[in-house]
Amino acid sequence: MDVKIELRENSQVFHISGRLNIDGAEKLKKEAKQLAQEKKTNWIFDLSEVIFIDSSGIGALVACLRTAGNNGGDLRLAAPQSEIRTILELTRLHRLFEIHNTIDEAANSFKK
Amino acid sequence: MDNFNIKLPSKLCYLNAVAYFFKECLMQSEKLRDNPQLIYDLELVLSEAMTNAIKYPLVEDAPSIIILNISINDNQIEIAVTDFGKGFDIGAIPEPNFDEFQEGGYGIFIIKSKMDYVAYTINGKSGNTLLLRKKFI
Repeated sequence: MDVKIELRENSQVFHISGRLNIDGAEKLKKEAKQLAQEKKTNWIFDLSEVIFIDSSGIGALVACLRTAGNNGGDLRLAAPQSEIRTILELTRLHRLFEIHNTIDEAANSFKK
Repeated sequence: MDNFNIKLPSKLCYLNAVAYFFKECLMQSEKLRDNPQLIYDLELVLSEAMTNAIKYPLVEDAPSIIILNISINDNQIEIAVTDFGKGFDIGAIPEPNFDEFQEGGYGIFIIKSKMDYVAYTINGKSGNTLLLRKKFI
């Protein structure tokens, strides 16, 4: 799993790629905590290049949402592939996350 | 019937390597090749099973390995994951509380949701085996 962070005017985009399993989950949580310390917590997780996610990866998404919320921000998911959406639905977490089809759509939601 | 028997160190760093190998094996099946969702589900289940097997603490003096036995025929896949950890009572693991949006506790739920048959046996020094089966439609 690889993650690159793009700083935008009103949000921060995590471009995540590869396999989000227990290994990637720890890396993602660490990156998120670091950004939270800088008080930048309007997060968009770009999932378009995530080819696999398991329960550890799902858990990391929930943990990051809580980290953002606890620091006055929020987390939006963008462009998940159909298999990722299926897992979010199976675990009912699609009710927890605001999921957008594109990064720009997610970014605009922070401007409202 | 194609059988694969893999013995590997009980380390999370090998998860991805096994996943790639497993996926390539599944792609050899004509029934699976055209069903990417089923391939994804099987890869997911194997990841959950291996993560569980690796993360639980070992029994004293037990080998730090896990053993995968995978059998694929035209109609079914069987996956057996054996570890030498302390084991757990699969029947005592509750379903996730879907109103609390937990950070963990989804692994066994996902496995049970995706497979037709799930059994877990604790066999002392012979290891604990999670046995999973899925029929192809």
